[in-house]
Amino acid sequence: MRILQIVGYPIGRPLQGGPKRCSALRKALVHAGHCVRTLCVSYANSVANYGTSRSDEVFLIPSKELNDTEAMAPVLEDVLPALFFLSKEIDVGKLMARCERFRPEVLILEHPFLWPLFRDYCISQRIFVVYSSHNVESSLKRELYAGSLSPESAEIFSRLVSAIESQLVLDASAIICVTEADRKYWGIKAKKRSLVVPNASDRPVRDEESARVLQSLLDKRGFKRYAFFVGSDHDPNLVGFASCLGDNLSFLPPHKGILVMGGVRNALARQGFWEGLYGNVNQARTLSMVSPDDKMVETALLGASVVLLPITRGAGSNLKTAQAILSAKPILATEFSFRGYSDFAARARISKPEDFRMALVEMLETEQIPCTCAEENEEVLTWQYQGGEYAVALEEMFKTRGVLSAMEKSRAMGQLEHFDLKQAMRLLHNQGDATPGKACANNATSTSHRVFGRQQTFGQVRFRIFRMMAVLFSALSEDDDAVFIDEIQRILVGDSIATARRYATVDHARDSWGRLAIVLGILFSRRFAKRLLSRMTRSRSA
Amino acid sequence: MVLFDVETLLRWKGPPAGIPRVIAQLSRQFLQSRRIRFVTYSQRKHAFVFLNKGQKRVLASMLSAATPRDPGGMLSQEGDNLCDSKTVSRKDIFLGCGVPWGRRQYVDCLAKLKEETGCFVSYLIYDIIPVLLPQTYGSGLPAIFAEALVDLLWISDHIFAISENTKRDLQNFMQFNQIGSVAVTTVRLGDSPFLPVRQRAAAFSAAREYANGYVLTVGTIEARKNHRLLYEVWRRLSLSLKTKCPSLLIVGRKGWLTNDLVVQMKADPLVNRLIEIQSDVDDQRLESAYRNSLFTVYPSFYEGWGLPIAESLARGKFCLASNSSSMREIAGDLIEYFDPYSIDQAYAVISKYLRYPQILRRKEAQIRRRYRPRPWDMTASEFFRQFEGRGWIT
Repeated sequence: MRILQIVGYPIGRPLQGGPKRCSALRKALVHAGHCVRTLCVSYANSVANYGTSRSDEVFLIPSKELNDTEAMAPVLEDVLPALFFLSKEIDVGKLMARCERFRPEVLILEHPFLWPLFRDYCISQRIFVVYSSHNVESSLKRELYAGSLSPESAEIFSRLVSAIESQLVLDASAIICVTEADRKYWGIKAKKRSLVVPNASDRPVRDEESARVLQSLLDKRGFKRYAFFVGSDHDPNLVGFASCLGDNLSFLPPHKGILVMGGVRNALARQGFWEGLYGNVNQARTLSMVSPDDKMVETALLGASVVLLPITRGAGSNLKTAQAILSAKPILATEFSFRGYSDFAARARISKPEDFRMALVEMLETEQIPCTCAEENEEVLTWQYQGGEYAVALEEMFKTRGVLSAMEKSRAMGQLEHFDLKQAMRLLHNQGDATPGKACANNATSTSHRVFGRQQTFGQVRFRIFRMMAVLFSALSEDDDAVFIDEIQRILVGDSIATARRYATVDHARDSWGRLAIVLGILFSRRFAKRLLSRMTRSRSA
Repeated sequence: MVLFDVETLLRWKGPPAGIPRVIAQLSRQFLQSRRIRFVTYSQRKHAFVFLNKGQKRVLASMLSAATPRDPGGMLSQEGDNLCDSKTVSRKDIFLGCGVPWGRRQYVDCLAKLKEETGCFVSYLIYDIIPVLLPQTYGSGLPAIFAEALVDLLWISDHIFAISENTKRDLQNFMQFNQIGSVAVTTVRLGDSPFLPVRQRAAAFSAAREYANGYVLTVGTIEARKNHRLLYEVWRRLSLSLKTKCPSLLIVGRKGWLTNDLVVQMKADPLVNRLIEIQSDVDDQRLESAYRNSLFTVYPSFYEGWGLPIAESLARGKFCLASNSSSMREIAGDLIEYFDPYSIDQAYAVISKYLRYPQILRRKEAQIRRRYRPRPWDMTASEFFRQFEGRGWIT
């Protein structure tokens, strides 16, 4: 099958649950012999939040307004492309042209948000559409928006997400769910063929080099035993941590702490977790790493005395639960975190959020017996197993193709047709006005225009300059030309990417001076870069 | 054997005040005891070390002097006799009465000592006000205090609190933060006069004359002690009593968040001649200040105990105190209280005792009759009584 997998973020270097799942499912399809192309459809600001790798194919929607709006209302990051498309503010002609070149038979949407962009194309080309849901987005986003937007905005944007997702559920030929509960939910909404592909993980492996680095960090902090918590900068991770462990870790004895890994560290920092009255206590009781690689995460997991799963909110299921079970380490979890893995709940100490702290102290103070439960069922938790099942089932469903007609019948756009786009756009602009970041963005306009030729907040400009400088220094010692070009492209996403590509060719990136010229040129003056590079090319050919 | 930590006293520069004063008073008593060994923390060795005989002699002579001095710097030299598993055993008790906050290494070292030797750790905690009223401290200090307090509570096997109120605060804090269950016992601090009788008389005669007398307040000039209220009250008193207005003598070092207040007091033409600040006052001058005052006033928002109230009463001086926290524990109905947030109330009671000296005299007579000063030796023996009563030492 020729399969086009559409994702909303780059998955080449997956660090978080969502990208990991997309990446694993892609690998399974490739392994099953299908021709799979993964296209990340997003926009500059959103992609910059994740970072791309060489293997990512990214289509950036060329819209300055989209980027500006995201900077003002980051919580709406996912749904903005659909809203702008429906409001006729962005053109996706080039995107469809790219899809057409590939001629997919199956289109897998890893999130519902981009469906309005692809719907007409899929109907016209009679493509088998698979909604690969990671959770029930409409309920998750409703909760998220309620906590971040004004009531009116929260309502209208929740309705938009709900409308898009319901429309996709109506239109899709098949639905992939992560839990039985999700399948039941969608089964009631639309009698579609569906498949449950639970979230899984690879069996964690200890890496000696990572273990050495980790041990030195633990020694510095004086941790003799630690609990392990990994999570992305995703609202439910923060909420779960706060409701189970509170805002101060005084309850932990000295020399025992929590190793916090992943973007959730940033979320905690934003909440002032390491500041204020208990800031010092929390600093002394935690060790955090923002973007550790998989080796480090797995090593830290295997060295922990307790693995924490303090999840109280969210939808779908959690990859980290599968990973924790596969690690065979003692687990302290909420009942909620074992949704989708209820067969394995006996492996963990299940605690209510209010008892979580005491349970953690008990587990850290007493030597926990490693799990000796039979491992016979554990293969269902691995991507190797789940991915294989998924590939076979998807092929089976594709062969029958019986539900395509359902999509043709629902041409009327169902719920989306009745959605009040004008009100959503009006609220979106108001949202921007009410966002404190806007003033900052406006103030920084001149600086950012001078440096990058487009509007950015001061923080973003500064961040980019620092990254630029980092690349500049690494450029002078880096031997791999392609890596350098990758880095440049990652930084200069958006409307600058074409420029970057034009400048940062392999020819120019072959020597240190060429790289220096590229970076300085992009940073300060493109004309200068052009001149310098053409002179260098001339001198080389001479 | 009890290891008594005098590190805070040895670090202190100038006449002991506040916590160093408590350690000095206890040290005076403990010097005679064979069951006590004095220890201090050596930053260089990151260990507790015993004071040698020479250092103990210097400490003794310092403590008996009115103005303690260590001319040879002997006490600042670090001894070689380390507190470790060879010299300290699980039968020993580490008694700390100092200031562990802001000193991460000290707390770590105490934890290490306990882990290595298994000794029993008992710590005297004066208050937990930085976590209760963080707004009255300099930026960053409450977090530093909270960190040390939490660690200390985890390390300690037993805690002494200087008042029932502090004991309650500690128990609430431990319950709220789910910090184990450490036994807390109250020990009452001594308040007996600082000087021998002969020196007391000298102090009395050395007093400076004030035209209309003065009201005394003792305590660091910091936001929590609420000197602002006294400033406002004295402004009103200067207007109502005019030339008969007494002075306000503030004895204390400058502390947190009061720079503006001190500037205001010095610049205000209404009161700048009436309010006097004396810092680094030695025992003799302080004794004199108490004995020559009309009465004392203590408007603090919150206290761990309120030693100046007790010291005032021990010298037969009436005190007007704030009605919050531990301050009612000291003297019950022997003194009068006011709301530290109400200038009107404070003004009313202060002016009442200034206008009607006969009421003041009645109160003073009552204090002399009923108030029993607490000698420091009783406080010192209270520690041992607790240790023996619980079977920790014999």
